[in-house]
Amino acid sequence: MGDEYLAEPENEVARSMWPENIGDKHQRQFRMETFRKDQDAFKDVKFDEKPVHVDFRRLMEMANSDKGVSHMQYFMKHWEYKRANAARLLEEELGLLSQQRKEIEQNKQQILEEQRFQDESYYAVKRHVPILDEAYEDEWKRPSKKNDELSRNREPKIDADYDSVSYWKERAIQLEKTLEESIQRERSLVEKLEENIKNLQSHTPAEEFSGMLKRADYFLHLVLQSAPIVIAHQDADLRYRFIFNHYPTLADEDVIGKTDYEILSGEGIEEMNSVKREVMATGIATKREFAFNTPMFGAKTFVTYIEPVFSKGGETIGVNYVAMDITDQVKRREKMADIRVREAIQNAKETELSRSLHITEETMRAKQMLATMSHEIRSPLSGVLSMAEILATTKLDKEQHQLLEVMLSSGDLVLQLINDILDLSKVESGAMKLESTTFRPREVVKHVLQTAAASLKKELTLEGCIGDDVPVDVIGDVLRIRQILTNLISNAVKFTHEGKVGINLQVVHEQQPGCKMEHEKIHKRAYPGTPITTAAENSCLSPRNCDKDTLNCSKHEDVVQNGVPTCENFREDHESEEVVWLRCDVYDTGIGIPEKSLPLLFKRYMQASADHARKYGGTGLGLAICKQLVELMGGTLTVVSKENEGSTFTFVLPCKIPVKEEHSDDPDEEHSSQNGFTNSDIEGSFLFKPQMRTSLLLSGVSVINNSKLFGAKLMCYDPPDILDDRKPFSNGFTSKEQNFARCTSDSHQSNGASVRSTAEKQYDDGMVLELNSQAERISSSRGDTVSVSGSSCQKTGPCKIVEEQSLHKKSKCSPIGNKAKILLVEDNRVNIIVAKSMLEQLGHGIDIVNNGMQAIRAVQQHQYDLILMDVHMPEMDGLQATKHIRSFESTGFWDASVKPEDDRMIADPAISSDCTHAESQGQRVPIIAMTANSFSESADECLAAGMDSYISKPVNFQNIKECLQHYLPSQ
Amino acid sequence: MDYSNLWRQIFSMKKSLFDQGYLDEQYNQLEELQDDSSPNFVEEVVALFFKDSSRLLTNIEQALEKYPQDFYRLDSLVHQFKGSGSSIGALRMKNECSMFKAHCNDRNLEGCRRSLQKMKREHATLKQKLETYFQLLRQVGPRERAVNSRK
Repeated sequence: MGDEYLAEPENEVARSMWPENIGDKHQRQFRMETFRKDQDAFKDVKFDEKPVHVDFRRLMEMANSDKGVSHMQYFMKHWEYKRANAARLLEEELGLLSQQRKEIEQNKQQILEEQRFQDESYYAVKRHVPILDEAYEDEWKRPSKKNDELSRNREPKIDADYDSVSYWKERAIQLEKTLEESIQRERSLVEKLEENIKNLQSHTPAEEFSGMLKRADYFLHLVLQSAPIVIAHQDADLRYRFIFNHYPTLADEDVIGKTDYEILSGEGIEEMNSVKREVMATGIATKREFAFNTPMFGAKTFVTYIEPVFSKGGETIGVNYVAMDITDQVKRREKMADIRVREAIQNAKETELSRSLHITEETMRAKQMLATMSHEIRSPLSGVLSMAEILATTKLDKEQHQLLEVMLSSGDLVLQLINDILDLSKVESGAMKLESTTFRPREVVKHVLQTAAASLKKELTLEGCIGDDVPVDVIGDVLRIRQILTNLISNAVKFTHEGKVGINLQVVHEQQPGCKMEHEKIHKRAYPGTPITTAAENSCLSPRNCDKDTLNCSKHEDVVQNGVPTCENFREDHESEEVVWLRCDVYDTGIGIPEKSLPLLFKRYMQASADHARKYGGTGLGLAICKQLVELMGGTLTVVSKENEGSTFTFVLPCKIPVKEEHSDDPDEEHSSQNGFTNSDIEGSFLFKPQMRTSLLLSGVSVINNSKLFGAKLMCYDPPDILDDRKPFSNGFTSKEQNFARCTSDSHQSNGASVRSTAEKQYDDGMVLELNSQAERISSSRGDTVSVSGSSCQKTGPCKIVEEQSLHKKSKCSPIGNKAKILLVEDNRVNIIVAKSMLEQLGHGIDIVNNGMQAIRAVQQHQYDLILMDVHMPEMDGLQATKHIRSFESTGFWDASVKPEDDRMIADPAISSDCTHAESQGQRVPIIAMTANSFSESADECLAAGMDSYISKPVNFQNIKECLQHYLPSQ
Repeated sequence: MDYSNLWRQIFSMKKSLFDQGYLDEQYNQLEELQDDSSPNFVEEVVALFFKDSSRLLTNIEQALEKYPQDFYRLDSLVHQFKGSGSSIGALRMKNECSMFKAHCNDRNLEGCRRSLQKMKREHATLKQKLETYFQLLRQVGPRERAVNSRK
C-alpha cells in the first residue's frame, strides 16, 4: 500500500530537478507563499553518503539563493502533501477498525444473550420456568441479520442434537472461540494502529529530502553518464565548488577549491576566466566558445554556457557553467569554412582571370583593329600622296606648286603617324621580328646625319663622334637602329633652333654604362704604360672636343698614331668579348624638356606639353616606338634634359661582334695596319656645317677649327700622305664607295679617281642623289681637288640645294630615280605585268621569274637589291626559295637540291655582284613576300621563312613604294 | 563625234562600275601605269586576265566535277583566279573567290558549286561591261584617255 503511493511523487521529484521545470507545476499544485518563513529547511537534512565531488558547505550557501529557497519550498510542500495524505489514510483505517470493533461488541452481546437464553430455557425445561422473559425479549431481537447468518452458518457445524445439552455446550464453546478471535483481531488492530502512529512520526521531512536528493543524484548520473560535458560551479573567487566531468583528467579532490589557473595552464584559460568574471559582473548568462591549448588535454574547443548565481540579496556569488567539447565539430566547421573560402577565392580568381582575359582580348582586338584600320587608311592615303607626287612632276605654276607642297607635307605626316601606329602595334603584339645583319655603326651614324642634313632647313650644326673602340662591324638589326637614330635626330632637329645636334657613339663596359670620363679610365687601365695609352686617350678626347665644339684639337700627326692603337684596341675588344654594349647619345642644344614632362615622354601619344604639340606638330609616337624598339633589342633608352639648354637621349644596346677568322689566326703587322686604316677610315667624327650642308670625313680627329678659320669656306683637312698610304690598301673611300655602289650599278673599282668619275657621272646624268653624296665627293677627293670641288660646291651650293630639295621628292617616283635591281618572282601573268609596269614606272630594273626554283637560279647568277616573292607558286613556293637563299647567305653554300650548275658565283660572290663589296658576305638581300592577306597566318610564315616583310596583294603603287623605300638603302 | 558627251558616258560608266563594286582602286592603279609608251596597257592586261581566267574557270569547273573533289587543288586554282582578279581590281569577282575559298575550307561542295556559278556570272558580266567600256575608250582615242583617265 505504501509503495504504490510513493511511486508517483518520485517521478515528480525527478522531473523537478531539471532547471527548466523547477517549481513550475508544483508551485501551482502547492501554495508556496506560506513556506517562506521556513528558511532553514536544509538544516535538518542529513547527507549520509557524501559524494566526493561536491563541497556541501557550499551547497548550503547556494540553498540560500533564490533558487535554493524555491527548491526548499518545493520540498516542504511535497512533504506536507505526503503527510496529509498519510494522515487521511490512517483515519480511514481507524474508522474501519472502530466499525469492526462495534461489530465485535455486538457479536459479543448477542452471544451473551443467547447464552442467557439457553441457560434460561435450560432452567425452564428443568424447572419448568416460563421460556419468554419480557426483559430478555428486547435483547433477543437485537442481533443483526449478519450475525444471524453468521450464527446460522455456524449452526450446522454442531453435530449434536438440537436442544440437547451437548448441543448447547458445543455452542457455548464455539461462541467462546469466536469471541476470543474477535478480541485477538481487535488487539492486533490496535497494535497496527499504534504502529502506524509510530510510523507516521518517523517520516520526517529531512529523511524524505535525503531520499529524494539521492534519487535525483542517481538519476542525474544516469542521464549524464555518457554526456561529454563538464558541469561545474565556481564561487565568486572562481574556485571550483562543484564539478561534474564525465571523463576527468583530474580527481575531483584536485579540482574542488581550486581556480582554473591552479589546475590548467595554456591558451584559453585567461579568456574563459575573463568571460566568467564578466558574467559575474554583468549578471548576464552567456554562451561562448573557447579554444584551449593546454598541456593537460591539448588543443580542444569547448562551447561553454556560463550563468551567474545570485544570492537572495541579489549579489553574485559565483557562476555555473556547462561546457561541451566541440573540437571535432569546430574542426569540421573550420574545414568547411576553409573550403568555402577557398572556393570563394577560386571563384574570385576565375572571375578575375576571365575578366582580365576578356580585357586582354579586347585590347588585342582593339590593337588589331587599330592596326588594320591604319593599314586600310594607309593604302588610299599613299595613293593620294603618290598621285600628288606625280602631279608635282607636271608643269605647275608657282601657286599650285606651293599648294601641292603643303598637301604632300601634310600627307607625309599622316602617313608617318600611321606607320608609327603600325610599328607600335607590331612591337606590342610581338610580331616585330628583329633581324641580325652585320653592319657598320659608323656608317649608320653617318647616314643618319647625312639624311638629317639633307632635309635640314635650319642653321644647325650636325655632328657625329664615334669612339675608336667601337668595332667596325657589329651584328644587329641595322634597320631598327637606324630607325631609332633617325627618330631621335629628327626630334632633336625639330626642337633645336640654333646650336647643334649630334650623335656620340661609344663602347661601354657593362659595369660602367656611364660617362666618358670613366670610359677614358678604362683605357688607361686596360693599356697601362704603353704609348698606346696616349693615343687612345687622344682618340677618346677628340670626340669630346668635337662635342663641345671647342677649337682645340689634336694635330693631324696624331692620326698616324691613332690608327694603329685603335686597331689594337679594337682587336683586344673583339677577341675578349663577343658582345659589346654600344652607347649612343643623341644630344641637342634645343628647347629641352621640362622635368615634370620627363616621365611622360616615352608614353604613347604624349608630348612634353600641348603647347609643343601645337607648335611642333608630330604624333607623340616616335619616342614610344624608339623605347619599345630599344627594349626589344635588349637595351635601354634614357633621357637627360634641361629646359632651354638641350636634351640628350641615350640608348645602350648590346651588339654582337661578328667573328672573323683573319683576326684569330693572322696577327701580322701588315694585317693589323691594314685593319687599322680600314678602321680609322670609317670611324671618327662627322660634321655637317650649316653653311655648307656638307660633310667632313676626318680620320680620327676633327679639324673643325680650320673650317672656322676659313670662314664660310670649307676646307677638308685630309692629309695627303695618309691618303697616299692608304691607297694600296682597301683605301679610305671604302665606305663612300659602298654608298655609291648601292646607288649606281657601274662603280665597283676602288680608287679615288674612279670614285670621282662616278660621282661626276652621277652629277652629269642629273641623277638625283641625296645631298650628302655631294658632300662626300668633296670630302673624299684628294687634297688637290678639294679646293676645286669645294669652291664649286660653294658656288653652286645654295641654288643647287634648293633645286635638289625639290627634286628630292620627285626622285621617289620619277623614272630617273636610282636604278635598283629587283627580282620579281611571280607565276601569275596578270600580276606580273602589273607589278612589272609599276616597278618600271618607279624606275627600277626588274627581272622576272615564275617560280622559286627559277628565283634561286637568278640569285645564283645576279645580285639583286630586292626580291619580291609570291608565296604560292608551282614547283617551288616562295617560302622554300627564301629559306634556300637565306641559308646560302648565312653559310655560303647552297643546299644540294638547288646547287648551281657552275660554281663561279660561290667562289667569289663579290664578283657576281656589281653592287656589293667584298666583305658583304653576311649581307642579306631583302626578300618581300607578296601575300594575299597581310594579317593572315601566311604573313607569319613568311617572316619565319626569312622574309623581311610582306606586302599584301594586289601590288599597288603605295605598298610597293613603301617597301622599296624601306628596303632599298639609297632610296 | 561629240567628245564631251562621249567622255561623260565613259565617266559615268566607270563610276557605275566602281559604284556597283565591279572594280576597285586597283583598277585606277592600272590606268596609272598606262602612258604613251604603252597606250593600251589596261586593255592588254584586262584581255590577258580574261584569257587566263576563262581557262582557270574551266579548270575549276572540271576540278569540281571530278570525284572525289580535291579541295586543296580547288583552293589553289581559285587562289590563282583571285590573285589575277585582284590585280586588275575586279572586286566582285575577288569577293566571290573569297567565298569560294571559304567553302573549300568548309568542304562545302554545294557552296563551291554555287560560288562557281556566281563567279562565272560575274566573270561574264564584267567581261561584257569592260568590253563596252574599252570600246568607248577606243573611240575617244589614246591621247585624251591618258590625260583623263583619272576618275
